[in-house]
Amino acid sequence: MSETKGKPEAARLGRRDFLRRTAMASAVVAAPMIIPATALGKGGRPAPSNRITMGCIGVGSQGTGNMQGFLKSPEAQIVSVCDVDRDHRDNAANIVNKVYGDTGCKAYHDFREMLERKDLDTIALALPDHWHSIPSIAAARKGLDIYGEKPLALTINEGKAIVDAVQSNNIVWQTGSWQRSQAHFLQAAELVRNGMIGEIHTVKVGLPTGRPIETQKEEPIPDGFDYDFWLGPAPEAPYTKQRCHWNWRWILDYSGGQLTDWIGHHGDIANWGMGTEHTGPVAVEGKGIFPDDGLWNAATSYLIECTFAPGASPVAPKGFKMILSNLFPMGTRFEGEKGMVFCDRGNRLTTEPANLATHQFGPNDKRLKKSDNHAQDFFTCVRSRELTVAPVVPAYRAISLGLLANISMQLERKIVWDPTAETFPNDDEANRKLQRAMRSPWHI
Amino acid sequence: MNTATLVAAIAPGGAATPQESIAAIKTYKFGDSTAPLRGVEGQVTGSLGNPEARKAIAAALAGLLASDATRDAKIFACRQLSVCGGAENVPALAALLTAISTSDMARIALERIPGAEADAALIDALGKADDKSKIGIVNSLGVRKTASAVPAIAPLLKSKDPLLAEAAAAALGHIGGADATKALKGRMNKAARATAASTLKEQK
Repeated sequence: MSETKGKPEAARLGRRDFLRRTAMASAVVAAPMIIPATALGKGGRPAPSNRITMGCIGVGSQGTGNMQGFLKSPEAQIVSVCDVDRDHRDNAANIVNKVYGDTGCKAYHDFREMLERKDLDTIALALPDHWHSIPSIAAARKGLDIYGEKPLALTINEGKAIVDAVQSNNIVWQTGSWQRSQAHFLQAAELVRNGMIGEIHTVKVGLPTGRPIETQKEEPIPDGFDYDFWLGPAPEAPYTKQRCHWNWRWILDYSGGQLTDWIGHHGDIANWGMGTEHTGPVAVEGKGIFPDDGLWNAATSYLIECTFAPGASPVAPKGFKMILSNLFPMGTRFEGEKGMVFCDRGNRLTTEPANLATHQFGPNDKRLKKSDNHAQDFFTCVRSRELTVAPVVPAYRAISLGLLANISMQLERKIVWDPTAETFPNDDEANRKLQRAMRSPWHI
Repeated sequence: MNTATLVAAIAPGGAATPQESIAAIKTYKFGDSTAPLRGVEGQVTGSLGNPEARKAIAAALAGLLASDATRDAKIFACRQLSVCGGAENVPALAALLTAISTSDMARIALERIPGAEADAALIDALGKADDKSKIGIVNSLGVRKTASAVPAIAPLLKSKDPLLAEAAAAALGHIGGADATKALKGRMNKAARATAASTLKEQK
């Protein structure tokens, strides 16, 4: 696939227009055979120039899984993969090339080099949380649309910076909060939004329990793994296997434990149903149990009460409590004055009254965006320039819940939050935790 | 003192003073039990809201920085000072800012300590540090939105080091205001231009 020449931003704006126009043309002439078959690619795929090109940054377990989903889309073309672990990137490139039957997918070590390609339309990010903001902002500034994994960011300020970059550059963003693309989660959210269980007073968000691990010894860095790059903006730390792939989630330098890992799913559904995707709580009080020894230091058990002000939600005029805990069943439970709605993975939707689960909405009801394929929704919106089902601001507001909860637990007290100014009024101790110093030379 | 004794001493209600707890972590190296560190973390958190207690533990942590404590212990101390450190601890941290081996650890704390003292220490270090350390210092001044740093950062837009020039553009974008904006519209290293344009676009 040839690379576009000229100034990247201008070229990409032209490319966006091209993708939009070809989408419209396809819609108009979908049925008749006006487009000659010779103009299309193999197997009914769009012609190469009309495919949405993608580079995948971070191709460990989650990133490779996402990538394999994108490979199923006939209109996408993965042209590059990137990872600081040689085994990961080589494996990912091999998977892509095997599917396409060629050698066109290039593997990169450094995302900055990959972002210099002029033929990219989109990127997919699946990195440790401490690496979310830097490549997201860099890609947005280059005009690339982004499929980014949850949670959005490691800190409040990094989340705000991602939102600013995405919005300022008119980027289409889809968060990996794929529960939004499942019918029963949509049904749950629409039931709540339409007042079917009355005014809501409490939302219980059930999340997983964490676990500790014993103290680890420093180990040799595996061949082919650029550990210093993996650490990136995080503080220097000796290599040990249990710090890195997958298990970074349980270490506060890189993530926030099960709480922040899952808040982008069940917490996101809570905000979706309540209509609080563009605001946040006014107070958070959390209590957590942290490991008293060992490498992993995120809370293993937690109970956090988030207070939303009257009017923050259209279905809670008197305000409501959102409680996050591993002590609840996994999922999101909305409790209203007239009933209850509970939803979880595995197509679980339980309601009181029971008939709400199959309620059919009418034309005058409040409807939320429907998507039945999370990856396809992203590609469709790349062409249409419309909002995806999981845009960037809801992702920011979802992770904010988890980050505020961790700050409250670490300070061991209630914190007061201004969801408009996005600071802690008159609270220097809490405001210090809005950001973390990045190791040189990294910055946002 | 073995670990069990130490943990008992620094547990809530234990009798260890901040000086005793912190003296006990002076030899900490990665791979040792982290229980003593968690104990100090608990003391730091417990001191918040009590100015005298906070100052006492911060002073003990700052004292560790100038001692022969292990590197891992000093990094831990900087992390704790990011939570409890105050203006009185800035000199101990500033002493680490200009050396490449310790600059990043000092910024862990200095970037978060409110007040003009930390701003002044960061600006002062800009004139003394090597280029790689300068990048981090510029980044911290940007995060802090230190307007008084603009005259010191603006010339770095023309640095021959592309990373430093680019970091200067990002920092000036974060700081904002008329002076920073003027600098971002002026001459600079080619490596900084794209970031300068982006930060101007993203300013609200």
